[in-house]
Amino acid sequence: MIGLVIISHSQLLALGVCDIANQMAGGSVTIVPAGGITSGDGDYHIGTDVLRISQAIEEAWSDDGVLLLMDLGSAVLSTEMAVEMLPPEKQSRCLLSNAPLVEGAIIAALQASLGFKLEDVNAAAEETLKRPKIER
Amino acid sequence: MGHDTKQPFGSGGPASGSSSENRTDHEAVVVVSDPLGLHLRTGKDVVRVASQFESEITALNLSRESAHVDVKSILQLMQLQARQGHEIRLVASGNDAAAALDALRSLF
Repeated sequence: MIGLVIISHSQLLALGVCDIANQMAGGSVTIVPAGGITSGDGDYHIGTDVLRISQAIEEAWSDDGVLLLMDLGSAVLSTEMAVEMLPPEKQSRCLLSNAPLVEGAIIAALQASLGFKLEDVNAAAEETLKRPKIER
Repeated sequence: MGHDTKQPFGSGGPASGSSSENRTDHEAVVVVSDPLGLHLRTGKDVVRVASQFESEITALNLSRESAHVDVKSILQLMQLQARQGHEIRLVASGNDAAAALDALRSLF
């Protein structure tokens, strides 16, 4: 079963997304938040922290792979950098998702819990880009 | 856990409705009983159960004239916008269609 990492500029947002995702996965998937920046002296800032993301990948690690969901902007860059810090064989089992953070995490958590493989979970998560919330 | 042979989530389209192979369509109409309607938490249980069957399973909200949705997709299921009292038509097509509907019926 793959692991999930939820990356956001906001710690609260990352935790909140994990909250919903955990309910979808029924506790069977490792879903780790990586949100905000906490400096050495404990100050918290909105932003993304490469080291925190890197730790989260380790926590979420599964030989089946890890799917990385991000909010926007620098989250992508920070995540790319965190993945580059991994040994090559682990890098190839990390996949950055193009899915929107919330909807993507919800789908990914459910699909991961059903045992689908990394690429298929991501495909399901990215499908959300094509689906409107509201029919007009 | 190897699931390489499993096909990706839902087919994403409406049921073909044709029974040209050994497949027969089974239908059931259920009424949503949960006061909160068919929401994310109960929806995921529907997806879980539906995903256990190989049949193609679609749903339609008769009370809202919604489009056909793939029951194995949580996103599509949410598009039904099903509230308490709404009538949902389930259609299952495949070898285990009858069993699929029996299992799903009890969730509404």
